[in-house]
Order: sequence, then C-alpha cells, then structure tokens
Amino acid sequence: MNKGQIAGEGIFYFIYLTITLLLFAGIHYIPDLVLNANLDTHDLENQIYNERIFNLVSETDLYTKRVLQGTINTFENDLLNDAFSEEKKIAFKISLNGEQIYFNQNFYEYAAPLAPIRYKIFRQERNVNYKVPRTLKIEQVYDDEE
Amino acid sequence: MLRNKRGSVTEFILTPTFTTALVLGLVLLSFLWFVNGISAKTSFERQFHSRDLAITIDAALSIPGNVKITYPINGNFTFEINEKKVITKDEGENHYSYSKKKGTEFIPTIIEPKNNQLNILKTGDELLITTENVSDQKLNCYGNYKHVSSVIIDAGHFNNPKNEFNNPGFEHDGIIEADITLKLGQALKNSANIPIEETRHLERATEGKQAGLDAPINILERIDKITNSNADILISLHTGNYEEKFYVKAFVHPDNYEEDYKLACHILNKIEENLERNIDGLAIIPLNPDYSGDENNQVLGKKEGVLLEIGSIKNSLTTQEIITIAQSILEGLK
Repeated sequence: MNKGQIAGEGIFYFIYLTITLLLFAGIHYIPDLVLNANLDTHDLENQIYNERIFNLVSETDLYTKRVLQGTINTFENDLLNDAFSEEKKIAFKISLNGEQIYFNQNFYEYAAPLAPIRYKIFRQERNVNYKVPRTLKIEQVYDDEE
Repeated sequence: MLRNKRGSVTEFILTPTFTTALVLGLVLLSFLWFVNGISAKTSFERQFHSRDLAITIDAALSIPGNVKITYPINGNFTFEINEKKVITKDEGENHYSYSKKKGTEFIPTIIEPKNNQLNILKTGDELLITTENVSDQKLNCYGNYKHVSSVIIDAGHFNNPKNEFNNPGFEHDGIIEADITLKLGQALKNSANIPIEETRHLERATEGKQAGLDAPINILERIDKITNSNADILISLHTGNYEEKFYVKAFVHPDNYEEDYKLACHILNKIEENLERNIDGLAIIPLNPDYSGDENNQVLGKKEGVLLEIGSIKNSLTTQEIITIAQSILEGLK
C-alpha cells in the first residue's frame, strides 16, 4: 500500500466513523429533542403574567375585595411594585391613553431593543374602561433561558 | 494481475461490506438498547411535572382572590419547592422556575414520593404547599388591626319574660339565643386578661322574683353604654338560625369598614382555626348604610368593633366550644 492509498483509507474511515458516531448520537438525542419540543409551554406563562398585571391595574371593590377586571381608575407605576419578586428577569410596559407605566423599567429599557433576539417580547391588547372605553397595551419583555 | 484483482475484491468489496455490517450491527444493538430503556426513562415526566407545577403555582399567585388547588401527583418523584423553583427528582432531576409576588410569604417544602396529591393554598400574601388536607375557609385580612387594650362586650338580647320588652332572640327546643350569648360573654370575660366592660349584665339574678332572669336592657341603654364606654372596641355577640348549616359571620359598620374588616377577619380566622367543628362558611358583611335606624347599625355606629353571629340556635354549642370560641376571639385581638 502506498502513501496515497493509506491516506485515502484514512479519509474513508474518518468519514465513516464520523457518520457512525453521528448516527449513535442521533439515536440518543433526537428522541429527547422531540420530547422537549412537546413540553414547550408556548405563551401560557406570558398569559398568566399578563393576567397578574391586568389584575393589579384593575380596580378592587372596597367591600367585596373583588377585582373589577378592566375597570381602571388610577394608572401609576406604584400599582405594579409588588408584581414579581426581584430575581425574575421580566419587565412590563403598560400603555393607556398616551400614558405609560412600567414594572422594572431599567430592565425594560435594556432588554426591549434586544428583543426578540436576546430577550423575548410578548404583546397583548385589552379593552378597558378608563373613564371611557379604551385599549390597554401590555408589553412583556423577559429572559426565557431556563 | 490476477492476484492484484483478487486483492482488489477483498480490499474494495469484502472489507467495507464486513465493516459496514459490523457498524450497522452496533447501531442496531444501540437502537434496541435505547428502545428497551425508553420505557424506564422518566426525564419527560420529570420535566413535565416541574413545568406544570411551577406554572400552576404562578397561576395561583396571579389570581387576585384566595385559591386552593388540589394537585395530583403521579410517579415516584420527590418535589422540592423553594422560593424560586420547583425541582423534580428521582434518579435524575429537573427544575422550572416560578415567580412569587413581592412580599409573598412561603415556607420551602419537600414533598416525598409516597404522597399522591398536594394542596396549593394561597390566602392573601401567604402561599402554602402541603400534602396535608388544609382548610380553604381562611380569609384574607389585608393587614393587622391596631393593638386592643380593652373591650366592651354586648351579649345580644336578654331573657326576662316578666319584662314587657323581653327580647330573648331565636328559640329552638327550649334553647334561647339570650342564653348562648350570655355564656359566650361570660366565657370571654373569664378568659380575658384585658379590661372588659359589658352592656348587658353578664350575671343573672340568683335570688328573689327575678332569680334566673336577666336584668332588662333596651337598645337605647345599650347604645348609651357603648357611647360612654372608654373601651377600644365593641364585640357584640349573637347566634344565627339555620336548619343544618354552621356559619360564622361578622357584621361591620360601613363607616369604618377597612379597619373593622381586619378586626373581624382575624377573629373569624382564629375561630375557624381552633373550633373542632365543620364550619360551612365564614363571612364579613358590611351593614347596609341605607338602614341607619336598624339596631345593629346603631350599636356598631357608636364604636369600632364587630357584631358576631356564631353558629345556629338549631345546632347548639357545647360548653367547651363556647370556651374555645371565646378564647379564639381574644386571640384574634392580639
């Protein structure tokens, strides 16, 4: 066998073994990837967090302590102070009638321009009554790395 | 040449064929091993439980009212729930984070595999996750009431058939409301370690024509005593009239609703916690300001406090239960 043949066989077995290893890896990892894809929670958490924010900005009945969803009398940042514990990488911008309030404004201003590449963004609009019927816009920016 | 050709057959056909067969055999074996092992794999279930439980907790925390969720557990997993995430463990582990509201009180917990369900209970700013069967009756108090250093007790009604204004309250099988409220008032007075005043006299006559009867007291005298009292709060005692149900209600005056609500809430929660009886419901009810002439409105309108309606005349309280209720009311004031 000359040097050319040895080199040829070397390349052949290198490709052969590489493909075989890829096949082995595929058998083990592809099913896990499929299972993980099936576990995607899609927008469920975003919906839940938006609901939390929506309840916080909505009015609460003094006597029954029930939240009157969609009825907004005051619209200020303080409403959202307790929405999430500090360690959560999440921010909200809520817009109503030309006014904006924020939860975690610093993170919002940092992360919003980087969405949807580095951070994720979830937008929703809801009909509310703020003296007259209006549209409330909720923008949620978050880090989805789990 | 021929040898070279035979060499070529071995070199270019037999060897690769053998090698390919060998590799395919290994791949097949590996595949069979994986298929055999996949039934025992719990990674998917672990991930599912971590995410599902974390999202369920998030949902409970996002609902404005009180919530009790009974969460079934399948599989042989241990759940470690800390301040930030749910960790599901068996031979491996997976985790998924949830987010509490700021100020939520929560004690981290570990749920062992032997349990088949857990209860997620959110009451106000408290989150409880436990395998124990917890009551979901507890009310959200929205804060603490001020320090109470003295009380005036208004044991509702009075029993004196010889008096033209006799007002014994509900009656059933020879039991009258005035007897129950008297016993409750006496138990409160005996258990208290703070000054107690009373509207209705908490001792009945023992001698003479009035023996066993209450000293009469009308609504104006009650209001007068409450108005002139130096006590911090008023506790008015009554009982309900229901066929089978056992409710504990607190009526509060609308003019001081937010503070009286807290007082009532702490008292009701203590009764619910201490009384070993099935309570069908706890409620705090504001009196209707349109009925300002109503007796209850007049009594509660003179001082901060609550009017308690405990149980039913048709579902009588034992002596021990009366003592427990009295002690619970006092605990609720602390």
